[in-house]
Amino acid sequence: MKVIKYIFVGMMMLAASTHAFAQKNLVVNGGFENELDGWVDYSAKVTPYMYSSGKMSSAIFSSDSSKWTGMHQVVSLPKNTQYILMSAKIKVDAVSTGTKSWNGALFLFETLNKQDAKIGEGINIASVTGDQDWKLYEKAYIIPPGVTQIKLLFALGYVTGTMFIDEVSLKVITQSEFEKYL
Amino acid sequence: MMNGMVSKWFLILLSLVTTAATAQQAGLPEIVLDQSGYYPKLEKSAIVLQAVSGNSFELLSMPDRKPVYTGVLSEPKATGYSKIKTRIADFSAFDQPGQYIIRIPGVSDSPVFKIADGVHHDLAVAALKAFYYQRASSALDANYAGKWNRVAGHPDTAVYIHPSAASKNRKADSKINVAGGWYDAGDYNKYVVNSGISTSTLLSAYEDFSAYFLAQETHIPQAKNKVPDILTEAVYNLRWMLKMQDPADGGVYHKCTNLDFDAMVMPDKAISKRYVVAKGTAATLNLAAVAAQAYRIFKYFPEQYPGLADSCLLAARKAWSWSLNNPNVVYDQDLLNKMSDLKVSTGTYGDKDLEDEWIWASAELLASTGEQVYFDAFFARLNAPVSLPSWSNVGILGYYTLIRCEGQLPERYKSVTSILKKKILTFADRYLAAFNTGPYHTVIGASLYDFAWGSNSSAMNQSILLINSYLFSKKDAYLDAAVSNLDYILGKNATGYSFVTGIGYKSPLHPHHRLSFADGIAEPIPGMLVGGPNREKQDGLKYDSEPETSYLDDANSYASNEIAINWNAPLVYVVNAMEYLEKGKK
Repeated sequence: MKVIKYIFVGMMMLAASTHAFAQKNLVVNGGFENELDGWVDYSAKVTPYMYSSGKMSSAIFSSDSSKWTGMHQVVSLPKNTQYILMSAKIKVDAVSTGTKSWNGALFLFETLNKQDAKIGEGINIASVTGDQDWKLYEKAYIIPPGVTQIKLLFALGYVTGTMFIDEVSLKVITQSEFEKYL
Repeated sequence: MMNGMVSKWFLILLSLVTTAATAQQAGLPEIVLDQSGYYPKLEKSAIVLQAVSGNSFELLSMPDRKPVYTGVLSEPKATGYSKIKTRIADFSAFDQPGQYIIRIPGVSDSPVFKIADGVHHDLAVAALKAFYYQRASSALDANYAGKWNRVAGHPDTAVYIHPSAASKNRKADSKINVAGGWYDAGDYNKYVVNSGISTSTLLSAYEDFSAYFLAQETHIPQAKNKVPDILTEAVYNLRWMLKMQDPADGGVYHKCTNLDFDAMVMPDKAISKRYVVAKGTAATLNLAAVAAQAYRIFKYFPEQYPGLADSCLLAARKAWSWSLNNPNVVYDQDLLNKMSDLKVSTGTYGDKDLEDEWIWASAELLASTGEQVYFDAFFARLNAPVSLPSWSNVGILGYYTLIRCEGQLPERYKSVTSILKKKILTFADRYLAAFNTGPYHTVIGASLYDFAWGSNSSAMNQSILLINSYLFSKKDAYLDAAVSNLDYILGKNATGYSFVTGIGYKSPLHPHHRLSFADGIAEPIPGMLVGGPNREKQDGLKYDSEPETSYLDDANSYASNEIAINWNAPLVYVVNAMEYLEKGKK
């Protein structure tokens, strides 16, 4: 009887934890309220002068179109994750066009295995040029077997200008939630 | 004097306007419609291609020419990519079987057309029988082939191993038996990648409408009793595909070919040396997919085809294993020719993106075995966007299969089909919008890009997607949209041609097809779908300038008037599906 009770409690905890993952933003400091804590930044700065929510956002500036200027965060996925939703709000000022069609203010991601090795090519979620006010970009994605981490990247990819980033999120979602994005 | 000048200027202006109005439609037919006919309970419309002043049209019954229906013409519609303007005469509301013409003041009466149940029966039979006429290595008996009977050609029982295909057990210049199969198109070569989608489309038609096909008679040689003709024909090519697999390692040769295309002669006069060329991942995954699908079907015919199903599953597994070890061996004919004195110049069928082949093969093997390894391979590629199938883009065939076989999938994998359905329906809804707003009231023709090489097969594959959408959603609008493309290829298009040989009052007489060209018979082999309008005009012939009229009934026009097995197969699917499904629309 006691065993059954433990199994029941265990199942409830498992269900609760899955539910919790389904709700939780797995990105550390996605609103940049704690400076750049959690982010690997090569050139990003936080700014209190421009934000979508809270009191801060991250800004990436580049005056050299021969460079990739950006920041990233690697997010570990809960075991057996199948569906995720990635999103961020982006604002751009005077972002030039590059020599390639994908050049611009970029929001993209890469999939990594548990050895931190990249699997396949990076996938673009947004490539923005010119001037644009805050806009939400999101991408629902199916996690292929073997992928345990997602690397979220924001960059000015071989263009000049300024890119602001806020409300970065990566959440585990259910299949039915995923289907809403198809 | 002043009045005279005004009148003169008015007349000049009027003539300019009139000239402009008629010039833009010069050379076009007046009223175009489905020359094979319409189903009573489904969408029915004709297109007016010349300017008319009125806004109504009449249906007159034949032969008494009695008005039976009056309809309103649509406003003139522009295509957005050409100067052609259309008006749609929609008579879907009229559902009485019979023979009719359309009358519109200002243009000639339309040709006579039928409204009837089973109106495309002859086409359904002819389209499937066209595969029989494409058989390589076989004589066609007059009892079955009629005036298109012929002696055998291309025995392919001793085909050379090209240096690119040499392996430890099969040295270059040794010989293997790869007899049988269908000639690919207007030429006499045999390509696994194009065979794959063609054979699978026939097998899928059977899987989706098996009861219907059990009763179909196409008058082809029936060595086996109680086997539907569509399977008898598919087996003819399936057995060839199996021979193209190297039993030593499971890899599949890309093609069986001459070094150069044959002259326009009959098969028995085409006696060039034949080769199997380079194994490749695309060809191997094609066999994995088709053989896995064949296993599901032929396991129910153990007496007629003893051992075939098991052989197919074994071949599929071996092909999968070879592909895992050789995941990205693309067929590169230019590279191959740099490495050998035996230069190959026949059809390339090169494909550098193999993700869709992996999707398809994993789906077929999953549907046939329920094994996790195939599910994982499929699931890993589920983010890929869906697109219309073609020989080089076969991923969606796997989607169709998993939806079709949902009931047989292990419980833990079933939920994935709701994602597949959603992706397909999103696609189908775009087609529905094109159908509802398009200038020809068809799905095809909504976009300039529809008019590429083999545009008619795109029309048929659009219809297959819509029929599949209908099968799992039961939304009638998809069926109407699907049949609209059948109307298109059967005459409701800007050329006024029915693009299927032998069907309709104006159909191709000179397809780019060696068998039809060289046989000395005036009529081409019937039931073949030609490529259709192709704005890219790769053969350099002189075509009309508009995309939707870039078609020539000329044997030299390989860009618009060739035939191909991967174009006929979706025609077989669509027309037979419609013959079956319209009966449910009472």
